[in-house]
Amino acid sequence: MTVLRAPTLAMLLALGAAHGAHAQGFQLNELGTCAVARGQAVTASPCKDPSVIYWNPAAAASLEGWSIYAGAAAIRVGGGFTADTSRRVFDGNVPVSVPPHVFVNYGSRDDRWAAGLGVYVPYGLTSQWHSDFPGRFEALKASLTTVYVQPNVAYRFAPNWEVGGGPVFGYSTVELRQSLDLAQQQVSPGLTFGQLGVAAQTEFARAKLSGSGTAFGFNVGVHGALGADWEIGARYLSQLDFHYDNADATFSQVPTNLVLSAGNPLGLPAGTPVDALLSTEFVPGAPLSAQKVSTRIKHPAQFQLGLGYSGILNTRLEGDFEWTQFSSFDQLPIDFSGPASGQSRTLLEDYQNSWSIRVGAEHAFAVGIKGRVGFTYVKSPAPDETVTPLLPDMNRRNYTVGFGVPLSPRYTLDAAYLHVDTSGRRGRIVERTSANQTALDLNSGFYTLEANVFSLSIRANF
Amino acid sequence: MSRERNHVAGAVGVVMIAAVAACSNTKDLVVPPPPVNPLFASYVSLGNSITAGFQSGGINDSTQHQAYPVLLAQQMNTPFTVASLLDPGCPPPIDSFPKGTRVGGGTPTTCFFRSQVSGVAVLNNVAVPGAASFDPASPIGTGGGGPLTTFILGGKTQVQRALDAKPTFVSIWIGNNDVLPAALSGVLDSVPGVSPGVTSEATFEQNYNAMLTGLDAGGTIKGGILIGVVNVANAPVFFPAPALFAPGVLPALEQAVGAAITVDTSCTPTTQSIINFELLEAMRGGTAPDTIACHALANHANGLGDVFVLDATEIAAVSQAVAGYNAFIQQTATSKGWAFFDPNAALAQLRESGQIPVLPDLTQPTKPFGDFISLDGIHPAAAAHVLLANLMIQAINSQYGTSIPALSSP
Repeated sequence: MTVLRAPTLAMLLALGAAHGAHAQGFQLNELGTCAVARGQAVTASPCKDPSVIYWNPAAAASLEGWSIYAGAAAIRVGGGFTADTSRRVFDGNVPVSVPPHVFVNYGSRDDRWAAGLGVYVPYGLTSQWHSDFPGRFEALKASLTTVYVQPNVAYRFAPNWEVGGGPVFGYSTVELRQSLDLAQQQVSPGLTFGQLGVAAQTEFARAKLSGSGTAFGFNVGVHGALGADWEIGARYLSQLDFHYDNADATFSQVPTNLVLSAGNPLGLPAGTPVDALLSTEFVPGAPLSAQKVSTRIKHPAQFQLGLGYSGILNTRLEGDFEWTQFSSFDQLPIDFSGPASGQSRTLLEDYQNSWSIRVGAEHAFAVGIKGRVGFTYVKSPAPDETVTPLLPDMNRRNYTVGFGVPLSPRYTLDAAYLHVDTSGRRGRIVERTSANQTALDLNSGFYTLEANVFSLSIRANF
Repeated sequence: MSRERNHVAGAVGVVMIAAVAACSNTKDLVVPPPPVNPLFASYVSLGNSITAGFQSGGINDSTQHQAYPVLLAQQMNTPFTVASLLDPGCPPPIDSFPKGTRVGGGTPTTCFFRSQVSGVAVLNNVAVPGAASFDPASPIGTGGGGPLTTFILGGKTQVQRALDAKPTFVSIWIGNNDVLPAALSGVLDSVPGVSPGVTSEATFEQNYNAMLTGLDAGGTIKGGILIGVVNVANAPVFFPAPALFAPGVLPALEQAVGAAITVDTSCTPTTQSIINFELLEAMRGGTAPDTIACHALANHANGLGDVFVLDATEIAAVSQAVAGYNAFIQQTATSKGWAFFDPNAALAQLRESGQIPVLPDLTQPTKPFGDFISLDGIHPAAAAHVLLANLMIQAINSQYGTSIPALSSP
């Protein structure tokens, strides 16, 4: 009887990008505790640890001998959605995530060259909502983890000037969960359950998608000194184009407890449970049976340019401009290879390139302890039409503070705290089905967002 | 050292000033204006065809938005959604009396679906045409609403859909269909295929209590208004039998039927029986003989004088049942501290003033029952909904000390 479809599964894949609470879009910047504490303004006057393999591959040449830098950042995201009409607040339910990082470098004793390896998570995180969130039909949970593995070589080609870089191998996993709305499903071609009276946001199924993909790219940088007190640096991380082929899409039925009344338009006996009718759509071969689906998510290229100043005794100051090519996240092809293949389509995201301004300072105290502060202003790449439960992106202000404490001649402990502050942003909880739909048409509430990040790393030199 | 400290302090200061300058807490929720009283933050109406917006034997988006609960919500200044039905309707309303033609050329069985964009998560008007006291709390229902029950409630009961809205205030107008179908048929006892019979007072009270218990379970309702059942014997769809002897009436009826009508000797100028106008439609359709009798004729197989006719005894029985329902409803309202409104006084006043005619004006095919009753002779027209809404506003304001503004007279 029913001609159910899996339209919203497309949204799962479409937004295979999870919620990066403290950077733009789904970008992560918790790559090294020292860098976090300095507001990620570390391209020109880098932290003296191997995290430079990411932040400026060229600067690795200035690190002597073996050095290892390992740590993680605990990210706690808060915020929610307030509906316009009801003014009801729906809090997010994002678990704490802890992306790790490990960097190893060997620098020649004459500071002319270095080689190393970095393993880090530049894109990822999780968005998750409670089961009563009205936007769960857009996204109930999305989890993206993308790990980059980067061998690196740096070379000092002139006094105080270095270049460096290396290939990047990326491995990305995605898990996405979404509720399916019976009102949006078709009873017969051109006729939806909603037109038969089923209330909007009647959850009758949950979809889960899990898949993985790989991609290749590169990360390069240049670093140099401009006189005694000034440094300059730049880095470029290429786009990595991930193809999530053969992802698994599965569906589980959720009871609606709807019952057909006497005189119902389907001509079925009074008291017929709607759930019994729907159950046939989940059997093998039916539209909501397990099937394969594929898409691709381009992880944007990044460029960062910084200028550092060390003319103040024991103090380093830096300001950076960072640009991320989020315009590559403009649309997403969704290809089902199972019973829902007829629903393959391309979704509109229309992300724009984003940028951030980063400033930071580090002061070395007499006892060897280093104090660090920073601030970052991040311009969101999401247009007003694409502020969604899966990625309610908005402009952010990041405040950072931290310190480094030498534990022994070989070991140093770095700690950092980052607070993400936003002004909130209007957004939507429904699917955008046409490019003609504007933010005014779609947005029905207000998203808030804040995050707190604690980062710890150990540096070892040999 | 002092110079160094100053530089550091300055650098940190620059960072922090930039941070503070960038910080703001702008909120731009697009919230509706507040209701005239917090009591009406979420208003839900339960009921039957009148509450749903059924007029002239049909219902569509236009008639739905003329219904009194829509007007009440508008005056309460509270958001209110209806299960919008596509034009021309389900079924389309009658646009000409007594021919019975319908909007868009539809028939009594024409039924368009809900509009594609009418799917709302929260429905404020959960009333369903045809609903009797048994229906609001029953997942199966009596079937009186036909497909409209599904189209409006989508597999839930009125009570369930009402609770979805987390109502703070409810209006309930249920019970008309516990007597109306039987009265219209002229047979007050339950006869399968002919009449569902009149609901007994005990059953009515049981059904009513089940509905209220279900609503109370939501725990959000802070007030309400209970509306009494209309004495359906006064509905303009019934005309008094003595009118058959008034000059020009019988010829007009014959013209409407398209055949000569025989008036049985059981009808006299002093007969107290009332006759359902639907009898004429049955004659026109050939399902009833072209004879009007005013009392049930003995041994008459086709129910002549019984079907579509209420005699004095039956009229009294209907009135007694309605009075019993309303006594219970009023008592319930009092015990809950809710407002109560009996529409019968206002309708009787309109009838006495001639604004609801005793006999339809057959020369006015688009307004045979006047401004206050629609073309089916049963359901209020738009003007009556305004009147009813204003009377309900009076009752609510009186009970709760609120200040819902009255509507302008139509």
